[in-house]
Parts: sequence; C-alpha cells; structure tokens
Amino acid sequence: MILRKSRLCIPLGAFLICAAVGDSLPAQTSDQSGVVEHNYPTERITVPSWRFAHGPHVRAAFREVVAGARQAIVEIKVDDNKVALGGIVGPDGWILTKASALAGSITCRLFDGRELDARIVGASREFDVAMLKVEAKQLPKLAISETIVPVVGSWLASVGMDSYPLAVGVVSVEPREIPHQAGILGIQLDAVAGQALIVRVFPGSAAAKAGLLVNDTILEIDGVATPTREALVRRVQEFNPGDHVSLKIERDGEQLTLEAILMGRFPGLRPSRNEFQNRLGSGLSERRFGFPSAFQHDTVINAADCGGPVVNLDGEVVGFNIARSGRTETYAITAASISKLLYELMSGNLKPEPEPTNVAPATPSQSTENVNAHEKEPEEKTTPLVPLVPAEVP
Amino acid sequence: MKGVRVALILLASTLVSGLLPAAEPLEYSPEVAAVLDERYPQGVEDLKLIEQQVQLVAAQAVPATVEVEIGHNIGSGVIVSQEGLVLTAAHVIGRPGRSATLVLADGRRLKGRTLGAHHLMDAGMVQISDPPEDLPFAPLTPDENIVVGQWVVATGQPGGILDDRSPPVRLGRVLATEGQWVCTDCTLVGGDSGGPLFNMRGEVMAIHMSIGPEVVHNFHVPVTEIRPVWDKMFAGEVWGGEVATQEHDSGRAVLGLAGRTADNRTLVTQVFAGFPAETAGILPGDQIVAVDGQAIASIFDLTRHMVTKSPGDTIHLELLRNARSMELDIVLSAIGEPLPGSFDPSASEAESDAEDDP
Repeated sequence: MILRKSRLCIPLGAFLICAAVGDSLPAQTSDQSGVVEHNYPTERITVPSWRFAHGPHVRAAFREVVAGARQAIVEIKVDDNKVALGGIVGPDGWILTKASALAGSITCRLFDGRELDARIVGASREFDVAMLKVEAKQLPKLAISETIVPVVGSWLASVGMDSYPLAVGVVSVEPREIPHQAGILGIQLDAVAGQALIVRVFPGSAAAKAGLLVNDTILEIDGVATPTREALVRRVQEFNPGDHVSLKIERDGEQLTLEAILMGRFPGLRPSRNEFQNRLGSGLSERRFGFPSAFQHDTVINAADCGGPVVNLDGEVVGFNIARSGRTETYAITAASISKLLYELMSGNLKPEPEPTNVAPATPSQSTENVNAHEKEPEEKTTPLVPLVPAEVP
Repeated sequence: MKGVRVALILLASTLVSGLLPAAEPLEYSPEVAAVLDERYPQGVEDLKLIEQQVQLVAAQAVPATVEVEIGHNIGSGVIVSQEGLVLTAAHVIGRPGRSATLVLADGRRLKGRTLGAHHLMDAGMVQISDPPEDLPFAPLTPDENIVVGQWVVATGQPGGILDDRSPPVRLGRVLATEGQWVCTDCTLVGGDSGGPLFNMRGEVMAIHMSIGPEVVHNFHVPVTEIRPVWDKMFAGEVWGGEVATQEHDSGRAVLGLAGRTADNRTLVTQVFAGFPAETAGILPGDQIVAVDGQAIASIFDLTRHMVTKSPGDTIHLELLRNARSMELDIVLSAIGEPLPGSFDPSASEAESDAEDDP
C-alpha cells in the first residue's frame, strides 16, 4: 500500500515528528487478521514545543510546584554512571532510592553539588526501594504526604534538581498490586542429577553475565537452599526480572558466591510484539513487575530517572517513581507505602544481602561457546518459556 | 480571592455533572475555557483548572471504555449509546457478524456482535446484544473542528485487560491533524486500538489507530471522519480493504481485489466487479501465494508490488483454491473512479478539502 503523501507541514518548529514508520496496535493477538498499515504522514511534521502536553513550556508552569522538593533530590551514581534519582527522607543523610539500580560503589550528588559516598542501610526487595546513608547533616528533607491518595487525572511532577520538573504527567490508575513475572536465569540443568547441576549456560543470559559455568552446581539462591532441580526452578521463579540475587555455587569442590540480575526473556528470543511496542520511544526499567502496591501514571521518564519523588500540584510528595514499565506507564509506590517502610529501612531490620565474594565473570568456556541458543530450544529450562514466548514472532 | 471563586465554580460543576446522565457533554466555566484555550498554562493556578477538568473527563471516560475481545484479537472500544453501540478499530473487529465480548471497567462482560468496518480508515462498530439499563456511555462530539494544541484524554486497555486495573487515563494535546488522522502525545500501545480519545467536554472525538516510533507518535481516527459513513458501518458493511481501493490513486494500476492476511495466509476477501481480478476469475477465498515469482507473506507484499506497476502491465499470480494450485496472468487496468464499496470522497467534507491541495 502506498503511504499517502501528506501535505502537512507545520512550521515554527522545535520538534520533529517523523512518523513515516508505524506499528498498528492490536495487543497480544496471534491472529494477524485485519492488522493494517495506515496512512501515516510520510513527511516530517514539525510541531512547536509549546504544544506538547509535557513539553518545556508546560513544565515551566510547575516551577513553583517543585521549588521545595527539588532541593532534596539526589542523583545516584554507581561507578560514576548515573543510575537513579533518590530523595532525602531524613536530614542526617537518609536517602530513599530504587534498590535494583544499585550495585558496586555508590555515590550521591546532592543539590548543593557535594558528591558523597553512600552505603546501603536497608532494602525492600518487594517494593524495590533501598535506604542509603551518606555522612551529612541538616539536609533539606522531603515532606512525604502519607494521607493523600492521588486521584485519577491529577497532575504529577517527577522532580529533578532543575527548576523545572524533569517530566510531568497525570495519574492513570489508582494504586493496585502490580503482577509478578517470573525471572529467568538462562541455564539448562542436568535432568538426571539430583542437584541443580548446570549443563548449559545460554550466551547473553543472566547466568552468563553472572559468570556461571557448565558443571557448576547451584546450592543456594539468596540464602535459600536449592537442593534439587525443582527447588531451583521454583526459587528462581519467585523473583522478578531485574532482581539481583546472590547465588551460592559449588565449582570444582569449592564454594563461591556470585551475583546475578535476573532477566525477563530468554536470551536469543526476539521481543514479542507487545514488548516491542512498549519499548518504542522509551527505555524500560529491568525491574518493573511485581510490586505489592503502586499507582500508574503516564509520565514519560527515563529508566535511570526512577527512584525519585513525584509531587502533586501542592508540592506534596505523593509517591516515588519505581519503574518505567511501558510506553504508556510509569509506576510509583505510594507515599503511604513508603511511610510504613521508612523506619524498617533505617533501623537495619531490612539489611541488604551480604556482598557476594568477588569472582571475576569467567570468560565463556569452551562448553558454552558451542551452544547456539537460536538454533535449538533447550528441552529443559530453569523457567518455562510459555508465558514469555511472543504470541507471534515477527 | 480568585482562587476561592474558581474553587466554587469547580465544585458547582462537579455537583452538576453528578446529576446529569452520563452521556451529557461536560460544561466548564469561562475560567477553565480560557486556560484550555491558552497556548500553554502559565502557572499553578492554570494547572489546577486543567486538572479539575481532566478529573471530570476521566470520571466520565473510564466507565464508557471497554475492552473488546473478538477471536484472538484484543483491543479497546467505547460505548457511545444507551442502546449499546460500541466504536472500535476496524483492525480489531475484522469482519461483520463475529461474536464479541466487551469488558467494562467495572468488570462486567457483555456479549456483542461486530457490525461494519472501514479498514482504510480503521474504524468499526460492535453492537452489544443485550445492553443493561445502567449501561455507561459517552457522548460523541458534535464539533467538526479539531484544533491543534487542544487538550485531550485517552483511555483504553493497553496490553489487554488486567484484574484490578481500570482503563488507564492519559493526558495529551493534539499535535497535528489532517483529515483522516489526529496525532497526539497521549501515549498508546498495543491493546489500546479502538479506544477513545476525549475532548475536555468528555466527548469522544477520535478512536485510537496506531503508533509510531516516538512516544509522541500516537494516531487516532477523528469521529468527524466516521460520521459520514456511520449508517453504512452500522448496516454492517465492511470496506476499504487493503488493495486498490484507495480513491486517491486515480490513474494507478489496479487489480481490483481486497484481501487480508491471517495465520500466515493471504486470502482474497473481495473481488470488485469490472476489474482485472474479476475478469481473470479470481474468487473470494482464493489464497494468494506469490506474485511475479515473489512469495507473498502478507497482503502488503502484493500492494507494494502493485505500486511498482503501471496500467497495462501483466502480473503473474500464483493462487491456491481448495488446496489446488493455480497460476494466472493478469493485465492490470487503471483506477478511474472509486471502486464499488470503497470510500466515497464526496461524502466527506474533509476529503474534498484534501483534494483541493496541490
């Protein structure tokens, strides 16, 4: 079908919509019937930036709204790369942020420009939040509004350090439980051995990145013994993609601890149409499934801008961005949930897992190099492929 | 002082909307109107006025939004009448007479049947079979003008319905529009197809159609485009199939058939009288396997191939009919006038406007 030529050209331009490529929208269909190509404008349409609902002109109207909270924003860096935002919740250097963004040596850049080393004091895996502590006094602190439940359609500003919010949007859905999705390690286990003995490590998988090798036996995941193949499968599935788990393994008679970040899709599989569309135009957080309670908003933020507060038009913190989870959605955990967690996180009752022993990720061994995951599906996997296989592989 | 007055007006409008039937357009105060007409909000006062209106629109939009399940297709739709008429996307419903399930925001599952669809426009209708008395519905905009910059609210069921999740509300503005499409920055994704776009009076003004690579590429079919073909669609006609039915392409080579690709098979759905496909003996139901030696993976492969041809050219088609192979050589003719059953440009003001363009 010829894409009908558009004669539209709006000058004034600060922003280009190049809409020559498109994707029609049916969800989760295995039946391609009626999936149509459309009359996209084939020329560039230039739209002035004031017109965007979330553009700089609209965001400028929020200056007053974020004036207080932005002073309590922290930029979280891991090994000098910005990985998340955080918010100061206690004047003595208590900083709340997104837990799964953290690994390695953590530094915090404060509003006043100071860069301070931080340590993890507590973490909640289910909410994916962590409490950091930096050595500082009398910091500006966020006012967390426990009682305000955001109403659908209410403006929200995702606060950064700038005088404008880094992004704005509205509440899409009231707080609800965000469903769990099983994590994937990306290994094949020996079908006969009683223990969780690895016979294949898929290239590019969480297991490969963690340095697992063929003939390793997995003894424990996050402190829970996995004495059998079934126990290991069950244990891995309890976690969500993006979760950091520590693996106690036995290799050549020695015990080692490795850290793996679980994946959501088997390596080598192309993304489903659904995932493809959800990634159009915005990167997603790895850890974006399975939260006990979160509200959904339509603010488009970067995955690395999660972990910071969202405020309402009165400048009150109503939640913390916890995941960029799709093209249409960002999740924020409610201020009420955070308030309940604060003490636990600060008190050390929710201490993070012990640091894994540092084992350099092994270079791929001869046993994994010969495996081509694209050609042959494994018969046994640590997790079932079924819910993750695209309904139709493009 | 101004703040107090504004608050009172907004309170009043909330109360009024609570008393009105669901499908009445929402009123708004001159203050709200003024802010909505601005290029962009100037400060928190303006944002609060917009927010109040968005909350009212959302409250009206959500109950009227449905998830549409037809065969393996899952999309969204909007109930636009007390009698249970649902607007959705053509590519969600496919063809008429299919049984459909419509899931309301409150979880109710209603049975329905597909009516007509205009595939080129990508709009279609479903009739709820036994509409309950308390069926929520949303009004259609009577307004012919879509204004760039106007504030809009999108709902739908992105990714299909989820337990405990009401249809997510998204706020955006009209970035650009031309005849058959509106582009907004209300983010959409698979599953939203056929869902409604509302103006700030809570009226349905467009139906979600497609997305592009950036988050600001969200396309919708305006209701003003659907209205001229309303009766035809309501009567269960399906037209605007993908091949050679485009009225814009006068003078191009034409084969004269429509088809769809399903389950990796490309089937002829319609053969237009008086065109080469009919003369050559192609029948609806024939499977198109290859054209000029190139395998056809999708109906679009055929349309792309047609684009390279001129009237008078011969194409070689390989077909399957009742599991038997057939090969045909067909001489293409030229598109002169709109094909039978195709969209009639004269019926739409917007189209006549478009024709005036160079």
